[in-house]
Amino acid sequence: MSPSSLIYTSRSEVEVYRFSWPVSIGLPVLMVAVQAFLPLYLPFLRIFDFGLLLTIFFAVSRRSQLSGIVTGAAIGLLQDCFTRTPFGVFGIAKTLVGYGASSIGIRIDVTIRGPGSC
Amino acid sequence: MNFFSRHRNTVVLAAVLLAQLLALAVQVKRQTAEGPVSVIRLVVVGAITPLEKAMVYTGDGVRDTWRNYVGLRGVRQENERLREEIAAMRLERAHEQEELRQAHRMQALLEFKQKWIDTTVAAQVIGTSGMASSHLLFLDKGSDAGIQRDMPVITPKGVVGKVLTVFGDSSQVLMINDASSGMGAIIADSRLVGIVKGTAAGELQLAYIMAGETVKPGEQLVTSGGDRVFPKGLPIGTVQSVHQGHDLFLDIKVKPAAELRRLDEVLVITQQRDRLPDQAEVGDVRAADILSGRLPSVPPPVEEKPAAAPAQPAAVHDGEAGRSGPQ
Repeated sequence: MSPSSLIYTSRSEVEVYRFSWPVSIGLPVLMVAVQAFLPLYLPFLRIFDFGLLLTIFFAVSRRSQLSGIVTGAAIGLLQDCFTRTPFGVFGIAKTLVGYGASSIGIRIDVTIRGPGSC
Repeated sequence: MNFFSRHRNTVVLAAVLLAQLLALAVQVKRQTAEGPVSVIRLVVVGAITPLEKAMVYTGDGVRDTWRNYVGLRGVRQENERLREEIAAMRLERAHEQEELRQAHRMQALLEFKQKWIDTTVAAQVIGTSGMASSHLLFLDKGSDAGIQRDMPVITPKGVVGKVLTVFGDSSQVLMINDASSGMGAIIADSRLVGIVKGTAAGELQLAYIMAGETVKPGEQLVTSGGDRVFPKGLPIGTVQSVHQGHDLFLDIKVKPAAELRRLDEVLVITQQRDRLPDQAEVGDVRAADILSGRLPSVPPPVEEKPAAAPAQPAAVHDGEAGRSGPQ
């Protein structure tokens, strides 16, 4: 076994999370609502992009580039609805982020295993 | 087919990006100020707004409960302090009302038309754009409440922005500190005219004041009315700092009068009207009379009364004295 195979987990061993449709749709909608609501009371939260975090979370968890692209585009376009910018500004950015995050998720396993598990 | 299955993800990525780029290009080319609200935006905002309203109303309920029970400590002392303030302000108000009447008389004589705020609609802020780069607000009232595009939005402290997009039961407001916002402004004391614009960092700046002009920090800015959106004389903010710009103009930063970062309720001005000051309160007064009233005048001579004359009511004397002017 080469040293690299010790570092990188093979794809068949990587844990892939699946989300139900209500979660896949409801979580981005809830995220947009929270992102719009919270800065009313905590203005500094404007600097956090919850859409970016959610895109990375879904993309890394699902470990599918196709899913990352679609999720990123959907969340980005959802955010575009709440800004004055034309549709596509956030959409393109999040599409690329989703693709990149899922590509990284395929290659790197970031799951923390307990001391008993091997 | 073989190529597609082998590079499926890359092809999908390219297709999604291309579609969004094309959509972006079309929107940028067709973008007009009076463009219709896009269907997607309407549907998404319509779906999310009830959620935001629920969050805001729940938060307000909790906050009101806290304020109305726990936060009432020290109200008695505050009440006494406020009573003293009211007494002082009443005196100040009486003086200002006299000045206002004088100004109205002068305006009427000069047939000076002015924009008056006729009706306003109070609305609650239920959301923001959520992005640091985009300063937008969502209100819980829309076209159902009579709100239309480009209507000014204010608070008692100052200007907030103008209505950008109107939905059925909500509306989107472009704040004055957004980078794409601009409004006519006058420095209250020096009467210098400029444009207050937002910056990418969400700050306000007064543009187009020539470098040779004198502007000091602390000076008040009000709306000029020249943009045909905001009525004249609404407070915008105060000059925060003045620096020499890189071009012919001064670099002036403005501190907004309204608390733009913490907005709870706002007023939307739904109707303005060109109107003259009320003629009834003016009466038949000449401009010279008004001006002479402001000049130091010689006190009227005191008539010497005969000692044996019978006492008469003071009102009669006053009336006669009033009629016995220069004829």
